[in-house]
Amino acid sequence: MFGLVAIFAIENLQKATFETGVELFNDKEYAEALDKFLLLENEGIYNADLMVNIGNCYFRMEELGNALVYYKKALKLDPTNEKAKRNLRYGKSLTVDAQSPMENDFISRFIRTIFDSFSIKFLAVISIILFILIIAFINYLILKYRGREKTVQYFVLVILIVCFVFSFSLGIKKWYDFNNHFEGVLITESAIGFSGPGADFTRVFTIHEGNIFDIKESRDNWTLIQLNSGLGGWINNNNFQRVDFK
Amino acid sequence: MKNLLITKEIILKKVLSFIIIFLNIVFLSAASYKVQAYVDKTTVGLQDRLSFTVEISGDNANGMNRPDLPDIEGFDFVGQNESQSSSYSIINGKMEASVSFKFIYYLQPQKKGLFVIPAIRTEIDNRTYRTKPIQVKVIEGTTAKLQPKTPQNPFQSRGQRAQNTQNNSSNLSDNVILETELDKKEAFLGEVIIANVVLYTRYEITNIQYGDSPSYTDFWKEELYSAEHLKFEGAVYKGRNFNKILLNSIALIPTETGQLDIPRVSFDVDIRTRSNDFFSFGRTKRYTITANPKKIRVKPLPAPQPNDFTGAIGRFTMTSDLSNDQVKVGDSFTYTLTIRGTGNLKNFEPPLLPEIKNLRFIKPEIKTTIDDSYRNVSGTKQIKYLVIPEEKGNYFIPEINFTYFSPTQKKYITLNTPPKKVEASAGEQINFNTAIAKNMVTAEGQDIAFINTEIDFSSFSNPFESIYYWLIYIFVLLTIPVTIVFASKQEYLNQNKNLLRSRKANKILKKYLKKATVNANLHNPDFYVFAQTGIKNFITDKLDIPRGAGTNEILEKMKTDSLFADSVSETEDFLKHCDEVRFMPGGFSKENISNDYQRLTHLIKQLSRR
Repeated sequence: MFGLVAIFAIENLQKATFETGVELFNDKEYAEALDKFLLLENEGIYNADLMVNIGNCYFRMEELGNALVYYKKALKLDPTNEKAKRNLRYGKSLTVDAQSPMENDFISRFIRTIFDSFSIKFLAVISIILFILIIAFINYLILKYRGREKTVQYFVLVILIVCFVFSFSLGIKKWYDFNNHFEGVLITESAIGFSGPGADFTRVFTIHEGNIFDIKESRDNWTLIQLNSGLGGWINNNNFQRVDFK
Repeated sequence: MKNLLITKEIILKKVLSFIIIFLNIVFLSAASYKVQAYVDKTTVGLQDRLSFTVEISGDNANGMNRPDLPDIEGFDFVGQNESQSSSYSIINGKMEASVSFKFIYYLQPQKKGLFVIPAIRTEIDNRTYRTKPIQVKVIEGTTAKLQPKTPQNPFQSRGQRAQNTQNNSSNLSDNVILETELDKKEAFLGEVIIANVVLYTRYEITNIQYGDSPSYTDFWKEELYSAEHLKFEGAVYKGRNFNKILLNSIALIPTETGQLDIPRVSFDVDIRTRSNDFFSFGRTKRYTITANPKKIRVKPLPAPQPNDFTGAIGRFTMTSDLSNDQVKVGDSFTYTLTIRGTGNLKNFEPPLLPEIKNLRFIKPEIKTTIDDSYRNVSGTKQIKYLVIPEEKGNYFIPEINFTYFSPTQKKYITLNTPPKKVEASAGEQINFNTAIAKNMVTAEGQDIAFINTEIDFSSFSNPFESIYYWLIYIFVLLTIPVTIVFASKQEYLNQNKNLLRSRKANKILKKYLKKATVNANLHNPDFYVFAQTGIKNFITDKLDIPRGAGTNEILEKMKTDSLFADSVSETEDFLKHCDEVRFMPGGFSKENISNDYQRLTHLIKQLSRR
């Protein structure tokens, strides 16, 4: 009983914090609004809409890199979030570096589009629904069709299984990527990529604020990243922000 | 003798005149004459002689009397000459005769100065013709070497031409003249002015090239005619005989008021000089000839201007025409408005039809046609409407007013066309899409989307990481073995059903047998009833056929069953025997019962092996 009351109290507090943040944003007090929204994030509310709001605060404060980090975070939580997609696209158009997607051929783009158009939750739910349907169907066949002709029933079953395998494997892949594949966004004005973990290695490239890249591995204070163009190099950890939830 | 000759001459003349009169009656309807006078040079030296020619030409110029030469101040009459030439030409199958008489007077100047040869009056066919007076300048000495060739009379002054070895520009300007001739001295704003550029020459010109085209800043200009061939015709210009060519003709429409300059035009002309000896050819030299600048006064149109005046100036007529006055709904007809006349046809807005309810006008087609004539700007302007009635009924195309300004009458004139009636009958149903193309909204700027003002505070959770998610899978999967176990048990039960029945059959047999045994011991005829029913029920249960089946059916079934097949006949016999005893009168005997009981126990033993 006491626990329930405590949960309600916390929810009300969060709601008040959020509403204050929105009001501050409307009053163009972006830094204060940001503090409120970050407070919620730190309390463990990982919500795509909240991430978009944080991104917008950064955007208005002209911190493009951080804004893109949060749009990316929103999309990581919900790849179908329209506002996050739009804002990311617009933000990317303002960066110094051109950021075209790596896949240029039709098939890769098609797969990428499919991959991005389902959220992990959606895939999980679809998978379990398909699984229940399949098992129910099998049970039905066992009970009613013993020793009888059932070609059509097998055909339906195969289709269901294919759909299940597709959504389930996609979901598992997303789950894996969610925990093992990380992106980073450059938040300083520019950074130099070296051929090894240290400034005394050969310079490979220079990237600018807002550049989004894949994180490959980390060593001490240096991280190996791969740019959209396929270029790889080590940059200092202080230059970028991971698209990740601690 | 001399009288005779004169008489002969008179007769000849009379005959000739008769022929000419005859020709005149046959081919020509009206006689017209042209009388002109010219001198061979306007500047003459005291030592020179001036030839003054009066030329009378016409299609019936017969028996011209020599015009009387009045006393001319500063000149002495020294001699005369006359010549006659006739030409006949057939144009478009019509014969035209032209006769010209030239009366040439030789005049000797008496003193230096500027003199005027007065107008010569002559009377032909009771009509008086007057020539223009000519100004002649008399100078010291001679002008002989300046004398150009006279194109009209190439053989006239061979000696003079021989002296003419070169053209110099002082007499060039006298003998080659470029003139911009305007058809009026003053015009209204917007009125068409025709400017003809005419070249007068007394030299032989082999080529003419257009110089720089001047820019007409205060005018809207349209080229009407441009000479393509060097085709000269004779003309008198400022009292002298010239060859004339119209080089080009332009229509100018003033866009400003006031004293406007018409820019000077210039042409490059190639002039050939005659060679003076037999072995050399004539030389050709190029000169640039420039016309004198002209001015024209442009007046504004008188105020007030009528409301429907759209700038038409000239002389026009207007007609309207309907292609069809009975149409079906949805079919089209054309309404044509034609403005015909002379003026600035291309430079005014034509009158337009007002909108009429339920009549749809397709954007009119406006066509301006200028007649192929360079004398004036005349032609037609046609406004063609395609009209589609949208509903049935009678429609009136209202009268249309068109106002133009007449420069000759100096007032605005309004023309109108009568209203027209159109009858539209019901036609096929047509839906008109009255929607006009909508404005496409285009992005004017770009920005991020606004923040979310409401969120559900649900935090992200990964179902794959939830134990319950996987428990659902396991639970659902576990239903399969449960189903399988259930299904196989069901199967087992199905199989045991038959076993159950045959077990039951033995019980039944025992029950009936017991009753039969009791009855047999009592020598009761009910023994047969119980024996028959018991066996029948036993077999039906054993063979899984419905009870109550007929005896024959039971026997048929028994034949197919391997275990009962060998006892079919015995069963049949026993069952028949039971029937006989039960239903035949006197069939029952107490002695036979113990015997039949033996048969029953034997049969049952046989059947029970199953």
